[in-house]
Amino acid sequence: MTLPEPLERLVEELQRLPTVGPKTALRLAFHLLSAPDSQVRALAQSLLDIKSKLTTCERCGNLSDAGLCAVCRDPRRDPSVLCVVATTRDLMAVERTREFRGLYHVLGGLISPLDGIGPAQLRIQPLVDRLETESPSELVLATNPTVSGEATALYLSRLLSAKSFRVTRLALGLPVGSDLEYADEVTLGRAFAGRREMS
Amino acid sequence: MRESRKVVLERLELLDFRNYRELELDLPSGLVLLVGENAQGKTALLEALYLLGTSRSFRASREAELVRWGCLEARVRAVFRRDLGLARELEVNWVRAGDGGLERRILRNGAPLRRLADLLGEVPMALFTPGDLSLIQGSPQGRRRFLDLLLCKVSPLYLASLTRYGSVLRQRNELLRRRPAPTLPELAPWDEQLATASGVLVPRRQQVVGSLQEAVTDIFRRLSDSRCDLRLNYRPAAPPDPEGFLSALRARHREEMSRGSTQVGPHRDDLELLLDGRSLQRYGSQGQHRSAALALRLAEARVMGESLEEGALVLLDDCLSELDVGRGQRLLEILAGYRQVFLTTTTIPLSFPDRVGVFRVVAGSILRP
Ligand SMILES: [Zn+2]
Repeated sequence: MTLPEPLERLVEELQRLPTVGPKTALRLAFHLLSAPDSQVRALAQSLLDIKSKLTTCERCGNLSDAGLCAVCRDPRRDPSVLCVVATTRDLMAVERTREFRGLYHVLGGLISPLDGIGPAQLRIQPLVDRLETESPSELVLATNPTVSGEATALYLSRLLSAKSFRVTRLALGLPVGSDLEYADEVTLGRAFAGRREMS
Repeated sequence: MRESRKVVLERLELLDFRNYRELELDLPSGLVLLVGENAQGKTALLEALYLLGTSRSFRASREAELVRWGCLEARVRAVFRRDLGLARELEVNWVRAGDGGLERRILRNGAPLRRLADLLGEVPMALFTPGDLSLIQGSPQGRRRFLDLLLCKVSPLYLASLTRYGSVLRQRNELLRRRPAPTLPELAPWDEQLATASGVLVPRRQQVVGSLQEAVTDIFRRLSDSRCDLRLNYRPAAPPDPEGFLSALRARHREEMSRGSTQVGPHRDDLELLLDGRSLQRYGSQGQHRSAALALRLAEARVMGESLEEGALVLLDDCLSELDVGRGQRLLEILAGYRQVFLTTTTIPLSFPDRVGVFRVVAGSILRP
């Protein structure tokens, strides 16, 4: 089956999105084709806007549409507690709990040598600078319990151990060991097939 | 080894598995002999059982060949029962996928198992194949894998820690290879996590080697009909306590950076076998090596059965052909102490025990004599 060129291009673009396969892409494309002009224009405009109008908060690294993000602008937030997260998505996960009323610091990732990410690639220096000027009383390390999350938390707790505030650890997501779903296949695969030396 | 809660395989059903079109087999406890010429399907029966215990095949062939040629799906189903207990049904099935691979599903009592880890230990079993000679003659890696697999089956915490250890090791090795070389504060988070996982792995390995020891010595003596003393000597590459581990690691940081890999830890441990105090690998005869490999597997079954309190099935692939008549005879006597044993062979030994289930395997079907 050959589609008219513009439609085919749309289907191809949609397929680049996560979780979208060829069938879904085709369905979405036909849906958009029959949708009112105004709706399609609004979608296209919002797609362009997230690239042109969004920036990162100059203070915490959260996604923002202004110099300071909505959290940092909110006068009701408690500046004496700072929560360190890997990504904006993790920040949103903490926000959803409605348990935390302090401010955030978004690292922009986790330490992972296999991905070429070390402390220098993360927003760690801005964190240290911030701690100097804002002097909070508590720093909450809220990274995932994966080996990278743990490594990042350990690195930061060492780096900041001589400071005057309390450093606490809060593991986001699943409890330790529950990333097994994927990982035990790998370990078992290696154990059974035995083709790779762990060294 | 005569408690009341022992697991027994009562029934095995195959559908389009390997060269079996359809098979329904009711099985006795005790020694079950699978007799047949080569390439008739004896080993495929052990493979089917092993797949139910681990979801993995022990044979080196493409997974796609599990499904009989020209068929779209295959199924292995078995009914197990503990003495006085309820029957458990396990099923593994495969459907050919579009990409030429197989989609596998595992069901327990008809309900899909979500995690592969849930299958381990469900039906404890130990398998011996002729390739197990490499447990004795091969590198330490094979012996570590032997301990790891046994421990993963009896301890979910061990499995979780081993998984984690492997992930930390890969990250740490990558960091060690990086240039400019990593600083000590950069290495520290990985060192600490290695120490934590190692603190679970090493003591448990020590413990399980202790449990294996008695059985190995006993089985080896009976098998070789000698007073020879076979001992297991577990040699951890680093102390298990976090302090000792970290200082052993720190002592070799420089060397690690020049080699670009982690030099200390459970991934470098060895399990040495000593016969009357001397290295079995170096000084033992081929016959002693075979007996020792068998003793390790039979000890594994005993330890696994004791840990899980329900005995373990023993699967022996073609172990008689390599043993002399005396050893073969003594092996059968030892096997009488296990609840259920599956043994493949090309010929029935002359002096065979009366109480034995003999199944003849011919071209993917079973004939009872
Ligand atoms: Zn902000």
